[in-house]
Amino acid sequence: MVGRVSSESTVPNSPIDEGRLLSRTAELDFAITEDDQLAFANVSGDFNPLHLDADFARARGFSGAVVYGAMIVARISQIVGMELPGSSGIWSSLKIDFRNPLYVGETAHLFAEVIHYSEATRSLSLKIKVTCADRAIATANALVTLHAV
Amino acid sequence: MVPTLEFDIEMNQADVYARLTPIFHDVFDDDSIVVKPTTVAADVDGWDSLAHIRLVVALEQAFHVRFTAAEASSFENVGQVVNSIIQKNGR
Repeated sequence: MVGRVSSESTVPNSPIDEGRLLSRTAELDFAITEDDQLAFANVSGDFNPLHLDADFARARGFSGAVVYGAMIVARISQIVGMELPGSSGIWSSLKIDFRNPLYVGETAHLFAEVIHYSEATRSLSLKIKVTCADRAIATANALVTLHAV
Repeated sequence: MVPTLEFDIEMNQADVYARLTPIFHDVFDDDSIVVKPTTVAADVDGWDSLAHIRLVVALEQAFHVRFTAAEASSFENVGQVVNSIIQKNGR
């Protein structure tokens, strides 16, 4: 997995510089392996062969084993917990649409940007897009609240 | 005909309430909520601190306004929120 971030990795807790928050973006490339899939199956109890057996998935019209949607959520969690805003934030909402399957072994690109900062609630709204080549994999909106120090 | 100030304000309030209702339905996941000027947090199931954050952010984004922390904590009912939104939009 290759990750890169466009700006600093932490958000100042006080005072909040709204202009800097609104300009922040983060992005990373990631690929999910068969081992990742099996690890998630063991954690979640979801052993649907669509995610674990490429032949089973191909027989049903897919191009291979389909990455669990939760694995994409996990990468969003990485962005929120490590970069936007990092240790000063706690996730309070996520709305996500899965638009096309991501297959095991494919490299996806995740891009997140702060589209709104609420001074009243000290919350960031993030707009997130996950793509793979020219395919939209998922779009999401997350709300992250900055906690007091 | 130029509308009277009172008529204009009433129409703007109606517009705000019309846009407010689906926001409440979405934030509280309850399409039966009827939003009135006298509505307070105790009237809505699930209006806890996290829901309050989601509501304030949703209102800010929908109406292109920003509340201060003092404002957000001083609203006593929905009517005061609506009046603030109208005032911030310069209506």
